[in-house]
Amino acid sequence: MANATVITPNKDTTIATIRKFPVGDIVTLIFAAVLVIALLTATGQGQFSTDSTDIFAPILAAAAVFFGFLGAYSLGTSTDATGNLGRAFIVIIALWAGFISRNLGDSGNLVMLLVCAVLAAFLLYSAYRDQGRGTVSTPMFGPMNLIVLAVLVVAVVGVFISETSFALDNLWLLALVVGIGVVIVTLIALVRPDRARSYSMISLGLGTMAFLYVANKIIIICDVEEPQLDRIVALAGAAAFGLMIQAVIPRVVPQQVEVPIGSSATRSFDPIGAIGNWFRSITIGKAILYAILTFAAFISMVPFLWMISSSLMTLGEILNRAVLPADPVNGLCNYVEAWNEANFSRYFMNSVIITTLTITGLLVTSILAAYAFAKINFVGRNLIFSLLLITLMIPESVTMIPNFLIITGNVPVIPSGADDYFGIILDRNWLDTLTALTLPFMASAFAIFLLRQFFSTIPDELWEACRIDGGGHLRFLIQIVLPIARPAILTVTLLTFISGWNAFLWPLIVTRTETWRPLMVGLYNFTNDQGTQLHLLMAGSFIVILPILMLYFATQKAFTEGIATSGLKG
Amino acid sequence: MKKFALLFALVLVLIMALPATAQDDVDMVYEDVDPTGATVEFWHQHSGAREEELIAIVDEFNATNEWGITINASNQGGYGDIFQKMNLGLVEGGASLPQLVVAYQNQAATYQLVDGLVDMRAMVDSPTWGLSEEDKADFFPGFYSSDIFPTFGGQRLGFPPNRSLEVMYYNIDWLNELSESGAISFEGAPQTPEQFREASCAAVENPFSGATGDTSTSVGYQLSFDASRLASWTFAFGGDVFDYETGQFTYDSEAAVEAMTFLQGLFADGCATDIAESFGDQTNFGQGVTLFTVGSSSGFPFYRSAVEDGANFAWSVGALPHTTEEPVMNLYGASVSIPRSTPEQELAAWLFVEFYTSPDIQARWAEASNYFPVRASVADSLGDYFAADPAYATAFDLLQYSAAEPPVPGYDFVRDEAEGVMAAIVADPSVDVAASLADLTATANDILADQ
Repeated sequence: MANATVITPNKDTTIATIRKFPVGDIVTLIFAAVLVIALLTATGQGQFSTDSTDIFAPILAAAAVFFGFLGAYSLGTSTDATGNLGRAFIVIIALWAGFISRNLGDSGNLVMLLVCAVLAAFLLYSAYRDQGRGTVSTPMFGPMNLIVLAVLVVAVVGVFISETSFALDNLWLLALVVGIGVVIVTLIALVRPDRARSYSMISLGLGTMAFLYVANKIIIICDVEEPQLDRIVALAGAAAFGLMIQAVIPRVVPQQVEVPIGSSATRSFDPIGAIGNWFRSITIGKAILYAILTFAAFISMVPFLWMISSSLMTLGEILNRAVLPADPVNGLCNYVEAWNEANFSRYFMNSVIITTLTITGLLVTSILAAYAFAKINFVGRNLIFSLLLITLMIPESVTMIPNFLIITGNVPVIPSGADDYFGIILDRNWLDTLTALTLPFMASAFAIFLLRQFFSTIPDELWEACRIDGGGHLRFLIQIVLPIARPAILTVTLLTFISGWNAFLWPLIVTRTETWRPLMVGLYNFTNDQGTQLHLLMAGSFIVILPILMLYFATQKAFTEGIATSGLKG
Repeated sequence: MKKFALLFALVLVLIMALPATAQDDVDMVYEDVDPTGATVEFWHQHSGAREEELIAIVDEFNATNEWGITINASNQGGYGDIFQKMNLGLVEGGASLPQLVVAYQNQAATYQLVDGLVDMRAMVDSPTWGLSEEDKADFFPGFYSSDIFPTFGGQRLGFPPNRSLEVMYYNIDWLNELSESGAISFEGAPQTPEQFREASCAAVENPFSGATGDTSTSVGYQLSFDASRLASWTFAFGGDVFDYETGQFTYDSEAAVEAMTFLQGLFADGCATDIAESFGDQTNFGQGVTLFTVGSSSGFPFYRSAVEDGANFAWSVGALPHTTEEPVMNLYGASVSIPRSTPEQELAAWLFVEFYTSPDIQARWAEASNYFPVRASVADSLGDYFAADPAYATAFDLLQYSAAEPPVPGYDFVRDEAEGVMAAIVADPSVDVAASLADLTATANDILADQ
């Protein structure tokens, strides 16, 4: 931001980094939240249809226009980064609106034209504003804006080409633009890494479009009876979720700082030179090492690649150990079939809810317990901690029966929440409820152990300093320990996510209906006593592990750090 | 092992709970019971097309039954998962159990250790609600009697809605090649163990010309280590793995020893191999590198896919080669049992079972599931299906030669033991088959005694 105040440090002060939560991001958050709600509604109910008489179509189209104007507002109030975010988001909205309104006939086309025209106008306007401010924003006719504009132009042209409806059949043009755009954006990000974040937003937008295109193709190829709008909304919701994550990550507001002459900050980045330097730094030993590591990495990826390849085959191809699918395009239908057959619409949301609740509960209990074991001296601390560790040795099969008896109310440890606030009742039965699926896993000896190990490394001097400032344990934990322990907490989060996401036996035992069954139980539908529908199982497995992969990539650095610093490596 | 430990713990707890939960064995008379408006939870293991058809059958019953009974059918995992859930439910007291459940005979026997199931004789034989003599006679006798438990005083703890048969899958084209080249001395499917050995060993030296797999791995027979396979081969050699008079396992019978010695010899001569991956025999059979496999008839769709996308040869099924005059085929399949609930729900569950096993519904169910129907008259409705699927028709003709594995509690654990012994015997030609099977018999009877 050009007008940011420059702080000049003296002997008593230092430069602090100000993290601002821009207005534009809040608006984006609202957008995203609305779409996520739409996602939840659509995937939970599966009741939308694209029938032109369906009331949801015009409502959603109108909503898209409304949000388009809100997006324009965000452009006018945001910083450069959020301006880009808004632009990318608006493109998604435009396509979304187009998809929804395509069954509205001529009026739908008018809606599309209106949305595209308004968005294009605001896009140019916002770029002009940024340029007028003298910020480091994208020039009006910079590559990013050109790409976005190109997409919009294609969208508008698509309306005219199709004559009667917003032409999904012509969306191959979008795919072409997406392909070219992603390549350009990637190259730009290499040349201008300082702007990679903005370009990633564009990539996200383009990726969403590609996703919509593929989804449409799947609908056509797989001969789905009626285009399932709930799934399209789900895709849009997924994109919105990604945007929300981007939006809530605090970022430094651009500001002018003094740097020495000749500082690397003033030099332009030379990617080709950097790559050349990297190659020159490789010795024979390093080359051999890299070759071995590359081979090992490939080997470790073989099962994953096999899963993807198999998910695009017929059952017969898999049974005959084919390496590649003969018809991968038709193989995409396996995903549709797997999604429908295993009731993933419901199970996916169930897994999200179950995992989220479990992680939240587990973090609360584990952080408090770990802090107590690490930082508070009390009688029997080590003994209790040892007893806690012993529980790690008890196999799951041994605890299953007691756990089952507890959640069915046969062991009087479940407090009543409704019948008697102060009593303990014997007939409480949590079978087939969310409680039975989450509560037993909201405390974990392993998580406590891992966090305790990390907390123990925090110097006691910090606690003493906190005491001098009048702080207590809770303040010390929240304001000092938790920020420091972020890697360990993320590690616990990831591990809990994986175990919760992959849980099978317990959810199967404590559920009687589909209401709260998670994804893994859905996967089981592809196996029976005489064989397995491997092609569907692999497609379903890919759908199931995708969130785990995304979470892992998002927390990879912190995860590695957390494992390394809590004594668990090796 | 983990699964075994859990199941074992469950059964132990069940046994410990026995004195507390056992009820007086009083025959319930259902004549005056009114099932109107009853709701029945039905736990099953079916998925995919089978589940779709089952749901359609349930929906039809719900829409047409005169009592307003509602059946809620739901997949609760595989057989093992349902067994675990049932055991946990019985330990817990039974409140969380369904009113109708799929159960193998040995599983039903385990439930009955704590009097968890209804003796269905009172319903089947009821003048008001039961089957007519004509209907009873329509059921295949072996099927009809398979859920009557001598170890529980002749109680009927289940009722069969379908059955499968352990059959031999064979590559017709390859056998023809072997016969035409003079590599074997007979035509068609092998009828005796010696013919089976002859073809199996010839297949190693004479790979199938149309094979799509690696012909250097051609083999006559691929064996999966499974207690049902052991029982099937024992039946084929004229014996049984259980003595119903003494109530003891007889894995050390002469027929069982002969059968396992035969298999051990096939392995030693390189004419048979074990299966390295789950359902790998289906894959290798489809690629034309395995001449024979033995498996359930309900696996037809998987074999068909493997062959059509593989070597695409002519194939069929037949009886296991046998030393007996007539084939003796291992017949198995889960029945449906009625856990104890209210008389109204118990009767409602039976009325659905009666509908489920009626001829028209059986014909639909057989076509959708690839299982065999349990009533002989259903064959009349399956003419087109037989024509479209000759292998199914061939297997159907073998139903008359059926025998069953022992319906005793603890058989799940015995099965695990049997698989281990089978693997040990065929892995090492020097292993004493008789001694190994004697040990297995002792272990199996110990497990039985613990129930």
